[in-house]
Amino acid sequence: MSTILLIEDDHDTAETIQAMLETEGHAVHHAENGRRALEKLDRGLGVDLVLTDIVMPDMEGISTIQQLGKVRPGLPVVAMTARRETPYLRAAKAMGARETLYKPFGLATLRQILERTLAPPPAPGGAE
Amino acid sequence: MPHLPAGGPPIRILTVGPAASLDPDTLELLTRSGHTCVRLDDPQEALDRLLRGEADLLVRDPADLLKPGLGVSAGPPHTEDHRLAAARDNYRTLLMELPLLVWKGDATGGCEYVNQAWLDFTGLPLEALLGDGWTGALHPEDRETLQHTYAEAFRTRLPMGLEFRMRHRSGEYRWVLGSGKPFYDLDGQFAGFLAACDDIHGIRTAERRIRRLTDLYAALSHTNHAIVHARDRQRLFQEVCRIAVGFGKFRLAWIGLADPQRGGFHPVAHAGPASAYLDELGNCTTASEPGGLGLDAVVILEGESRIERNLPASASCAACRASADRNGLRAQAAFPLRVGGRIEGSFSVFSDAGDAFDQDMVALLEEMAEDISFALDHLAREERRIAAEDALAVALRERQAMLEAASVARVVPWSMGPEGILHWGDSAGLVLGRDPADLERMPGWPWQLLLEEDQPRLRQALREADLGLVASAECRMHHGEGRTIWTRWTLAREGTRFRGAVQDITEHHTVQEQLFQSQKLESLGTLVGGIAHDFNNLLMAILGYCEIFEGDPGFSRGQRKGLEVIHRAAQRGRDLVDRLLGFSRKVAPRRTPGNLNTILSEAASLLVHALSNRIRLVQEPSPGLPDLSFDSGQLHQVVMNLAINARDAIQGEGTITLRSGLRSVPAEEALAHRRLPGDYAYLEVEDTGCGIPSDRLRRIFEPFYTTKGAKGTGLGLSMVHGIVTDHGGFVECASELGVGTRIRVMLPRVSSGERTDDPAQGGGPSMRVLLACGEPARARLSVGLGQMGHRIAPEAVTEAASVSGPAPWDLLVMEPSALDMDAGAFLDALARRGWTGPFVLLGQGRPGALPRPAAGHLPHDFSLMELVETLHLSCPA
Repeated sequence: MSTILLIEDDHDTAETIQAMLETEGHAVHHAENGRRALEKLDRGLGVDLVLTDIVMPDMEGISTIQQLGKVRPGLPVVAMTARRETPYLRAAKAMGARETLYKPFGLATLRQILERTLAPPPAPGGAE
Repeated sequence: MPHLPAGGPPIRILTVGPAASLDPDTLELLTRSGHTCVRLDDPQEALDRLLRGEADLLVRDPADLLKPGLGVSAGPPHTEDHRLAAARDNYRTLLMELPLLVWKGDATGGCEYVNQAWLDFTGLPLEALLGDGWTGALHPEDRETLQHTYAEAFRTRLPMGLEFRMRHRSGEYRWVLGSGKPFYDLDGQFAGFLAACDDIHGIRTAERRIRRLTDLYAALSHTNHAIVHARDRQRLFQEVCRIAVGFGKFRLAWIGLADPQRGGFHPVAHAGPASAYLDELGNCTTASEPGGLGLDAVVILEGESRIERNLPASASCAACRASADRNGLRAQAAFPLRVGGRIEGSFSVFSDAGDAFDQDMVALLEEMAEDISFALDHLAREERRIAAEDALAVALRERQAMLEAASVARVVPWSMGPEGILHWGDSAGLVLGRDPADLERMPGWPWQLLLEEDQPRLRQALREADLGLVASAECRMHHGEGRTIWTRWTLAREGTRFRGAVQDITEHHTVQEQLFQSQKLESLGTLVGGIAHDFNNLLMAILGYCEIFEGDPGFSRGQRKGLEVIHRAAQRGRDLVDRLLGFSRKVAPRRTPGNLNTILSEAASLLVHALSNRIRLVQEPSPGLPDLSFDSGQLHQVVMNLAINARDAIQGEGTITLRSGLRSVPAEEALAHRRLPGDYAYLEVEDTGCGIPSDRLRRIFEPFYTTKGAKGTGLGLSMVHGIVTDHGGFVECASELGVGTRIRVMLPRVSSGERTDDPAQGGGPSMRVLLACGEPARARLSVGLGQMGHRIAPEAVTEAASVSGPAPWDLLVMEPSALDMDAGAFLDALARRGWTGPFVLLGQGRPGALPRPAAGHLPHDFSLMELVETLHLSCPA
C-alpha cells in the first residue's frame, strides 16, 4: 500500500480514479491542479507516487511534472491523458514522467502500471 | 579652155567622160605630136593625178582637143605664150570650179589663193582669207593643232593630212578632211603648199552620233543591270547618275525628287564633273517664279520629257541659265520619274554639245528614265512586300504568343454575331478538345456540350449579359476527349454581338475542392479530437466504477449483469473513440525504419484469406524501393483497410493490385495542393470494381461517410487519412465508374536516420530546431525543446541566412522583433538555401509581409504546454 497524489481537474474522473486506487488498497490525496499539488507537497505531504493529468487549467501537467522533478527529485510520476497526441506524452516523458496512462483505463492496467512504477528499480521505457 | 601648143614640149593628157571615147584618128594625131593621152573613167582620180603632177592636162570634152594649140586641130598652131596663158587659165578655171575646197599657200606659208568652193563654204570674201585670215574660220579647238601640223609640214616639205572643223557660212562648224603637199614651180623651186579639203562633216557627224548612241546603249544596259541588282532607291539613284556620266559621257546627271509639301524638289543623287551646277542652283522649286522655272520643275509639273539644246539662251529660270553657262553646260534633257503612275521626280542629263540630244538619243534616255521608273515601282512593291511580310511575321508571332498564352491559361475566346453562329478561337482545340470549325457547325449556343444540370447557370449568365453586365458562369462541359471538364464562361454583350471566353478551370476546381476537403477533414479532426478527449474522461468514470463495482460482493447477480452490460457498452465506446482518434490523428505513429514492399507482402499474405477465389490478388512491388521510417502497424492497417474496400467494390470477378513505387512532387504541384515538394514513395491499392462517382470520391475520407450502406462504418478511410497525414504524407484517389478505383498513399522519403523515433523517449520524432530569437526566449526554448528530446541547431541567425549548403532543420522558431533583418527577408534567405520548412512566430510583434503563413504562434511567456501544443500543430509528423 502506497500513498498516491492524484492531480486531476475533472471531478468525476478524479473521484473514479481515487476509488480505483483505493480499491487497490492505496491511500490517495487529490489535488485539482498542479499548483495545488505543489502547495501540498510544499507543506510536507509525503507521497510515494504522483498520478497527474496532462491537460488541465491553471498549471498544466507538463509544467507540473517539471516542477515536481525540482521539488521532489526521484519521486515517480505517472502522466495520464485522455488525449493521445505524441507531443504531450513525449513532453511528459521528457520532463520525467516514468509512465503514461491513456484514459479510460481499467483496474488491471492501473495495477500493472503502479507495480512497475513503484517497484525499485523502475522499469525502463514503454507505456501501457 | 586650154589649147595645146603644137610642136612644144610633149603634154600628158588625161581624158575623162566623153573624151574617153576619143576617136582613134585624134589619138593617133596626139601621139604623133609627142603627147601622151591616158583615158580614165573616174573624174576624181583624174583630178587627183592632175594635182599630183602626173598629168598636164585634163580634158572633159573631146571637142576641146580639136581647139587650136594641141596640134590636133585642123587650124594653125598658136604661139608659146599664148599657149601658156591658155594653160594657166585652164588650170585656174579648173581649180576654181573644182568641187573640192582648194587652198594654196605661198612660200612664206600665208594663203595666197582659195578656190570658189572654199569661198562658198566659208561665205567669206577672198581678202578675208588671205595670209593668216583663213585660220579665223577654224574651230577654236582645232586651230592650234592645224597650225602646228601645217608648220611642221611646211618645215619638212612633206605632205600632210588632218581632220578639222571649219566654220561654215551657216555659222556651224563642219568637219573637213584636209590634205596638203608642197608645191614647186616650173623651175623646181618650192613655191608653197597646195591643199584640198573635202567636206566630211556628214560622215563625222554620223560617226559621232553612232558613238554617242553606242555610249547611250552602254549606259542603258548598265542602268538595267543596276536596276536588277538594286536593293534600295538611294543606291539605285546614285548608280544611275554614275552610269549616265561614266558610260553616257554626260557632263552632269542628277535625280531630283518632288517634295509636294515644300512645293519643290531636291537632288537626291548626282554625278559628273559639272556637279557644281547643282550647288550653284540653290533651292529648286516647282512654284512659278519671276525668273521662270527650271527644266526639271517643268518636267515634274507637266510629266513630260523636255529637251533644251541651248541652255544659256533658254527661257528657263535665270539661276539655271547662269549656272549652266558657268559650268559649260550647253544642253539638258530631263525626264519624269514615275512611281505607281505618279510623278515622283526627274532624271536630267547635261551635255556641253548642243547636238547631244537628237531623236534617237532622246528615245534611249527616255527608255532609261522609264526603266528607272519601273525599278522604283518594283522597289516600292518590294518595300511593301517586305513590310507586309514583316507585319505578317509579327502577326504570326503575336498569334503564336496568344495561342501559347491561351494554352497556358487554357482559355478560348469566342464571339457570336446576330447570325447566331458561335465563332471560336484556335485554342478551342487545346481547351475543349474540339476543332473550331466543327464547333461552328453547331448553330446557336453549344448546349449539347454542357452538362444538363449546369445549363441553367449559362442561361442565367446570358440573361445578365443581356442586362449589360459582364457575366460569368461555371459549367461542366464535355471535352472532345470524352472527359468532363469544369469551365468558366465569361461573357458580355455589345449590341447584337456576344463576346467572351471559356476557361478550363478543372484543375483549379479540383485543387479548390481538395483544399476544401482537406480543411473540412482538418476541422472535423479537431472536433473529433476534442469530443474524444471529453468522451474518454466520461468513459473513465463509467469504466472505472464498473470495474470497482464488479468486484463488490454487495451487488446482486442481476445488478452485476447490468454492470457488465454497462462495462461492455463503455468498452465499445472506447473502441469507437480510438478509431475516431485514428482519423483525427490522435494516435502517434511509432516510426521505425522499414520497407513498404515488406508491408505489401505481409498485407498480401493476410488478405489471401479474406478474399474469395473469384478475386485475384496481384503484387507489383517496385524494385529498389528505399527504406523509410514509418509505423509499420499503422501502415498495415492502411493497406488492409484499402484492400478490404477494394474487395467490397468488386462484384463477382476482379483483380486487386497492391503496388509500390516512387514519385516526385514538383514545386508547382506542391504549391497548388499545399503539400511539401520532394520525393515520395507510395503504396497503391487498385481494384477493378464498380468505381466511385466523382461527387462521392471527394467525401470518402470524411468520418462516418460510407458508400457501403449499412455494412460500412465510414471510419476505414478516415483512419487511412489520419495515419497517412501523421506520417507527413497524403492520399491520391482516382476512380472511374465501372472500371475501378486506385488509391495511392504517398509517404515522404525522409532518410531513416533523420526522423526516426527514439524508442527511449516513447514515440515522436526528434527534431532539429533553428532558433532565431532574442536571448531570453532562446534560453527558455533551448531548455524546453531539449527536455523534449529535440536538438537546437547551432547556427546563429546571420550564419543561417548567409551560409550556403544544406539546411537540415525541421522547424524554425522566429522572433521577428529580435531579428536584425526583416522576417520575410530572412525566410527568403533560408529559401535560397533550399529550406522552406514550417516556422513558428514568437511574440506579438507584427512580422510584416511573409512569403508564406506561419505554422504556429507562441506568446513570449509561453508555457511548456503551449510549446508542446504549438510544436505538435506545426510539425504534426
